[in-house]
Amino acid sequence: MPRVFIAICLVILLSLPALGLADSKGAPTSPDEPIVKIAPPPSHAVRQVLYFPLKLPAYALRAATLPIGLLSRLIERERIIERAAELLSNREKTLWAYPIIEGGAGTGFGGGMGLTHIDLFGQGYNLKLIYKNHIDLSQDASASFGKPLAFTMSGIPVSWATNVWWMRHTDEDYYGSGPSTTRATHSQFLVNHTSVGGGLAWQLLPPLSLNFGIGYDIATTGPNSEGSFLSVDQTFVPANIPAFGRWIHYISIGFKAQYDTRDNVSMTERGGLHSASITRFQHAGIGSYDYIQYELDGRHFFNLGFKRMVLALHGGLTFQQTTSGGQVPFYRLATLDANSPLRGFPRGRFRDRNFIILNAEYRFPVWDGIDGVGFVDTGRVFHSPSDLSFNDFKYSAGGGLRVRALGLMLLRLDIAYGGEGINTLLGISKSL
Amino acid sequence: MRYGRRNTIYFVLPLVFILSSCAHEWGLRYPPSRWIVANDRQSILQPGKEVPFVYPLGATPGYTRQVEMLFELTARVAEIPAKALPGGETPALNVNNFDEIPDSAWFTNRVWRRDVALDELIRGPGNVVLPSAKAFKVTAMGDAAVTQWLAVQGNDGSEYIFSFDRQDRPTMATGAAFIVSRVLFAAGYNIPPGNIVAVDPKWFSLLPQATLRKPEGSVRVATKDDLEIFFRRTTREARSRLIRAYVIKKPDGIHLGSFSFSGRRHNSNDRISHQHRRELRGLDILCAWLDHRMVIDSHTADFFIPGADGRGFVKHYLIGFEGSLGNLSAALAHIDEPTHPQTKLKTTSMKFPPVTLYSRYELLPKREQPTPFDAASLSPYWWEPWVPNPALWNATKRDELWGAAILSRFTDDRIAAIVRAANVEPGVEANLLDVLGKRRDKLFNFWLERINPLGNFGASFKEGEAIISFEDIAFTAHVPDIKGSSYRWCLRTANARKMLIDWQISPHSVISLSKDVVDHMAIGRTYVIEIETLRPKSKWSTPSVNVFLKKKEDGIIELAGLARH
Repeated sequence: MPRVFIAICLVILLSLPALGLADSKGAPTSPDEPIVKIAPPPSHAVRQVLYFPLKLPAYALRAATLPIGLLSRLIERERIIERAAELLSNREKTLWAYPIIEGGAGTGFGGGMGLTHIDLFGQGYNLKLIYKNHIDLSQDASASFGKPLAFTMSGIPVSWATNVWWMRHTDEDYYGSGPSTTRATHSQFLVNHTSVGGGLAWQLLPPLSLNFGIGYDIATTGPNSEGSFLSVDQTFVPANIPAFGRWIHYISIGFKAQYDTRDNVSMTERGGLHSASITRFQHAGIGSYDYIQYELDGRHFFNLGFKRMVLALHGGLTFQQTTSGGQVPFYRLATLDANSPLRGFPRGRFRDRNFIILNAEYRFPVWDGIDGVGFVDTGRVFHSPSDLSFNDFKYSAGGGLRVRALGLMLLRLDIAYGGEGINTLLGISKSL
Repeated sequence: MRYGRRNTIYFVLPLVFILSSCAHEWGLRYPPSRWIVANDRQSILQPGKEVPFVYPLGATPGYTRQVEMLFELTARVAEIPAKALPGGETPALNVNNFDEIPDSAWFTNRVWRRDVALDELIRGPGNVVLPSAKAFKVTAMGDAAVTQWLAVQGNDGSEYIFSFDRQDRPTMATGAAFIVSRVLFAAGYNIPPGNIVAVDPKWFSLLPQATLRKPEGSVRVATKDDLEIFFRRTTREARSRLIRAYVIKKPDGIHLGSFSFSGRRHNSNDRISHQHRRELRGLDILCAWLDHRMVIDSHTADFFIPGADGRGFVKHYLIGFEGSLGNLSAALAHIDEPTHPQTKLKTTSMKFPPVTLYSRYELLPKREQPTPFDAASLSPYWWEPWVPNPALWNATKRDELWGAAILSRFTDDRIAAIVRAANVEPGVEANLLDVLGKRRDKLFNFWLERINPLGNFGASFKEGEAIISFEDIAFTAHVPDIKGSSYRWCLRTANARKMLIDWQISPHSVISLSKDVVDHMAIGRTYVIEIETLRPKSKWSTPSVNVFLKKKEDGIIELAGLARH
């Protein structure tokens, strides 16, 4: 009971400003120059003590990254990032060219270039081009074109976009489907995948949007041309790798509702991104591969009272429901891997019709331009909703660094362990 | 651990973190007035014993560091500034809603708040009028690196400190003391009254118990020969037996010794840790400008001002400016390492607290190559005082902006008036003006591009329309290449859910809210104008300044505060 009482007092003390019970103010002698008691808020000293354990990882990382820290201070003082960014953009900051670097989780090291224009023709059109290549000769390319808030429909602002996406991965990983697959069945395949689509987004409220998309998707798979593992058709019977070696055409139609209250898309400190979507994939060819995919995703960011000290929580759920007795092509199964993110496991590690993923990530400042992270990921795949239980969840944990500048995350390095070896991930995209 | 206790922790801890993250910005905790007065002059008991008022030591005296330093982990032992530690940057804790500081026992807003006339600028903290009967009893004397000094008692009981120039640097120490005291007083700091006088050695005689403090800090009884040698080493006025000196009069009150630039004195008036006081942090840019490298604990003075009942309050002063304007560096140039006693300050004569968090640099200031007093060798980022100063370490960009705003009020003609009044040697005067101007501009150019330099916000209301005006301090500071700057702004609700006026660009430092917009604003609700500054030669807009507005019951829009990012 006393502990509960003390805990409640702490809660009230720390939330005094939130409850509007600020420090007492002196009676003004004149309206223009009131005499006031100047003091830190009551929560200040308490927080300094309470938050000391949260600062410990940062102290440890500082010791480990001292040379990087000294370099980052020099970079900050000489404004090197701004100068580099000036080289990579035009004067109006509407056209950007940027290098891409990534690696880990089975893809091998790779890189590429991106080009973005946010005001093409001076009319507000957005154009984005990306090309990536990896040492295993896997390639990705995409182009998107659109216009945000292009017109209104019944007073609601509407954006539109079209995109083309192509990938040729020479050694995608496949371990089989289900939560209990092992590394013994690690095999690989080649996939050639092209997708064309477009969509509209209605901005019902500033943070709330409703999206509609339609697309055409064509893909084929075959034996891997790179990589050291057996091809999937040598490891699995055809029944376990539906659609292998076939051209699969899909017409997709989907709806998505999204609620975005993040204060910064790249290095979020407050707010959340929550979405629900439903997409129908209608196979336009021989064979029954139709399915509907449902996705629920929620991520929220809590600032822990100090700048750049953030707790991020994420939960995601993906369901695939086949129709007309069909099957989902093996390479389109819901995948739980480092990109989900279950960062301790490599690409394509767990596949099945459905998955659930839960993440907690603690981000903290280490140096001026570098944040540290510690994270715990857990999730599992399952074949049908009735299979979902608290057994067979996979766990991974780790830490990493985020290089930031100009309010953006420039580079991410994560090192995670999930029981199957250490995974090192490097990239420019954020994990949460 | 029992199941129930674990559950309590699992429930309480996240709630603690989440609720504390919901806490309002500190900035709107005070009345919505730009100028407020701190009530730090409440009557308290005298918080310490009286200490003789003499010229400050060149090193930190043995005062106990406050225990709270351990909690802050500013790593004094490792000599890492708090703001360099993760999440360690703490905004100044004594600022009001408008990022200004209140008038207090530490500081009085002067040159930034109002126009200060030239004669007031030159008069500074006040001229000392020596007693008509010029007979001073020397209670202590000493030799510091940059000056020689006498602590004396007048026959009217007043106490004074006279500091003198060295023969190899005539008018420099006294000139520096005069100039820097005027500048810092105009800025708002408490400075003892002082001015330049011409004194006759015959006015001074030793008290029997008078002491002589040597450069390394050791103290012994002074003799008549010491006094004679003392005056032989000082500079005489041309064709006169008089000697130029800078005299300060001991302020009213009981001298309690120095204050520390970190921690607190732990009385009910001293509520803010000194390293988190804006006026102390803001000394970073002002002292870098003036090369006042002795901005250390020992060059401060606390005076207890007693009332009729013996209770009173403490007033905090800055003292000892003779080493500014390059004098310290010049004095160091004459020191032969490692034999000169100045480099081997004897610390055994000082008292140490039982638990010390002093770094070795504070006990024995680090030696370094003396840097010339010019603009080229000034590094705005790396400039640091003689010994590490926790308040300066903790200075954030907002504190530097505050200092730069004050510095912007020292225009060329004002600096010239002060330097001229110091009556330094002719060649030196021209050089000083040139160097001070260039150093000031260099500091502006560095700091004012690293933060959105908007300040002096004001609001007026006319015929239903609200006009928000502000000052771009970079313009006041004549930062080059900013002609053609514009300001990108929007008006939204404080929770960012609704935009009343979408982002637009204004070429002037004025924002006008039309009657329609004002009518749409709800009474009592907080709104925010976000303002970014766009410079013509930069691709980057500055981080925004958020100006908080509220509509009062009578429909008038008033400024509630501001927050800088």
